[in-house]
Amino acid sequence: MKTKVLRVILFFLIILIIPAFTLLGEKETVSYNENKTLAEFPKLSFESWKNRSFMTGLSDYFSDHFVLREEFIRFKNSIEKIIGKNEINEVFEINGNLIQTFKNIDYKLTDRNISAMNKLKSKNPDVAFYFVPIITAQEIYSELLPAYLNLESEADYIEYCKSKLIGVEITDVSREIHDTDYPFYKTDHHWTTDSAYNAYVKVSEKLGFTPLGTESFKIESVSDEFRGTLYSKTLNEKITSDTIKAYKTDTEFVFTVKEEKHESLYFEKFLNEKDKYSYFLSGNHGISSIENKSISEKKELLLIKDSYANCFVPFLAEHYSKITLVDPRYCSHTQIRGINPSEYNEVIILFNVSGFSQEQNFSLIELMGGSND
Amino acid sequence: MVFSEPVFMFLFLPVSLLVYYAVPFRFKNAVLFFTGLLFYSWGEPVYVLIMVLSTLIDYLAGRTMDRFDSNNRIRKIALVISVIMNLSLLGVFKYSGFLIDSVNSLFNLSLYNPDLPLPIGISFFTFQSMSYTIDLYRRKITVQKSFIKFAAFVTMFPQIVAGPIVLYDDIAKELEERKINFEAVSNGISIFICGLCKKVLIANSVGELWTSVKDSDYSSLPAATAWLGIIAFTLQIYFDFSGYSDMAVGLGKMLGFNFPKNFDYPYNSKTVSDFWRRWHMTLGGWFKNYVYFPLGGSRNGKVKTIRNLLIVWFLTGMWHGASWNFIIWGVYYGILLILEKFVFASVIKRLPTVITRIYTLLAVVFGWIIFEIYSPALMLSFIGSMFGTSGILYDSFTLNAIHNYSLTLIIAAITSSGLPLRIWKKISSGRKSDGLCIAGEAIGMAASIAYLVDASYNPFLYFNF
Repeated sequence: MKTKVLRVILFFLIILIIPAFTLLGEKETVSYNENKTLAEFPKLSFESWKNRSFMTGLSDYFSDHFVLREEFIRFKNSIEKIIGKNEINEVFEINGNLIQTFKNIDYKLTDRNISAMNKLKSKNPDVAFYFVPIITAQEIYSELLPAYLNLESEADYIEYCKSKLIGVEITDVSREIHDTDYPFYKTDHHWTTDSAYNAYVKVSEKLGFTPLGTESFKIESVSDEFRGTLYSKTLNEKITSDTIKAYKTDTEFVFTVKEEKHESLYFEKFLNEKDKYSYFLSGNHGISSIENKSISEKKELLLIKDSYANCFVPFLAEHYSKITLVDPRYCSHTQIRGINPSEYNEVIILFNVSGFSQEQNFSLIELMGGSND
Repeated sequence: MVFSEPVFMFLFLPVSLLVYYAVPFRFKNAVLFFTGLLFYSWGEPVYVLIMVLSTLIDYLAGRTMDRFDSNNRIRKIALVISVIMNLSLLGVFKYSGFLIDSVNSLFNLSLYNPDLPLPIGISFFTFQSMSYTIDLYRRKITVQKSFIKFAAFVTMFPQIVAGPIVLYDDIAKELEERKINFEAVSNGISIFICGLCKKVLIANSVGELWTSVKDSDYSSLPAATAWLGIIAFTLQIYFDFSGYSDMAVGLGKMLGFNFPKNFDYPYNSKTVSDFWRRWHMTLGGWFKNYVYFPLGGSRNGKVKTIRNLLIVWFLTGMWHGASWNFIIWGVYYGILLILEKFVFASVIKRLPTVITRIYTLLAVVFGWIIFEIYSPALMLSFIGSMFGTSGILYDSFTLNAIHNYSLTLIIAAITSSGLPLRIWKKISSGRKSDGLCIAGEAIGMAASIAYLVDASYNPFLYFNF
């Protein structure tokens, strides 16, 4: 009988304490890990009751502010591990690194994206085009990831792209990334600045200029508390946080985004926020540009890119009087049409492999140099 | 609202229980009625009016039968009104769209389909209320004079949405008088947590596997994946539905009611007819009592028995959803039962139990294919892929699924046989083991909460029926 009373008391404690703390506890307004604003308490009215927005609102509010929410999710993740699921939201833990896996390479989309590149090149025969695909961490750890996943080799994927490109030269920097000591962040899907530097050395050779040696830079660790997207997906606290490095020089740049001019390519304020990778170029923008005051002759580069380029472009910026950055994921048709590749000395297309294979908006680049009527 | 939802478990339930326990006994049924209304209108803020109206009509039909106790004509009229009203509710809200679509496609017409949304639990509460008026007409029970008590029977939150189908007779006594003590509440909590774990930890998890198999292209589906998928669904539907029934029974006990059992280890069945005595028992019981027996059951010779069985199973299939595949599914069982009864009865008796159990399980698994895949063409394509029409035995998805789900599937399969519970009872009999039980329940509950907090994936399968 004693145990029965105990069970009843325990059960009621649980179903009373949880709502008490959930409703009365201190509230966050934003979830950085999920990159969303948390639900507010819904307003009760005849209308919101009738159309059920009150009910769904309360349900969202309750789950969003659930007491010890992240601890419960971590508890769930450890149970999953015990029962044999070593993947959380498609992320694996390998040797202290979180690795995102991409199970479905979309070849149809790849073909479409490559044909867009080919078409743009054929419209601008006098401009040199370079495609720089960046492998992801999955490729580095491919041998340690479970064999049953049967993941496709990104090296093969790059070969596939190579075979389809017409007039566009591919610059494969995979070797350079493999040779980097700390190639990818442990808690984020991006490559590190070290990888980007090594890739820059390779790309420079291809483009015919001498890359700056490491001694030319002041290499700073700007943050060692970076926990990126893969941490958000897994909430895995056992993985130590990452260090973000910046390779700095004294060159003066003007970085223009949305008609606002900045004197630096680095944005300190993001180092205090969750999304610390935005330290580079303040994140992703549809169209932006970098001017280098120290180069007097006109040498301009068009860089069609995703976020992997953000930590890479400061290196190239040392060699061009102006770089125009176009991120087709964030551009309107009008903006894209306003860009004309024939005005540039070179065009570089830099994307990470898995992003490129799944990017719906990439083929927008075909519109470049078109009329806006 | 469903039971495995944070808002239910951590707002509705504690508040309702506290109010329910706090008020004196004469107000408890009223609390049940109002919390039931709140619970139901949470999911159906408008249709709740229909439910109240139907409850009122059934109540009045009951009062009328009682008032004109000696006038058989009036009693019959009252019954007919109640039955017609309940069946029309089902007809209009559940079957009108299906009927119009079928007529349109049969005769190439384009009649307007209003596409009415299905009120939650309508198949359950109409059947429950009908049991009252029919039994009253048959003089099996006495009238309920209090509207609040009758309404509490229909609307009480543990059973309104997904059963078990509680007959008025089952809880008539408890509506008047019931004991709520630590023993009952404690048992109720155990059963509730057990159901919660079945639903959240097992059904939802293996359900993810089935969803991804179901959504794939059957023409290139590897044989092993097809089997894995349908086994996952077989376990999902059992743990989902029986887990939900357990939660209902547990909540009933916390409120002082003893609801009938709805599942009795159905996957241990030795024959298909055995299966239907152990699966959704309250539904089978309902059809037996209110359709099969009134039609004459098996007393009027072979032909009539076969006819009666086919009618019952046609209706059972239809009860599960307004779509042809459910009707096929029902008739499929009707035919299997007829064959077992009239053709293979002696064969089945002579076969070893292992063989008949395998036959029953396979019959049930194939039944679930009909149940789950709406289009007959896709159904055949899926069955084909189980037998290798894709020419592939397994692929990386299969290996991935085996890696991620095999432990859960094995635990689920063993649990569904009831073996672990039997062993536990043997070990613990005569010993003080309740402390260990509490620890186990606490872990189960914590894990369920963790999965619920994490889950965006929390569908409830029996919602549409």
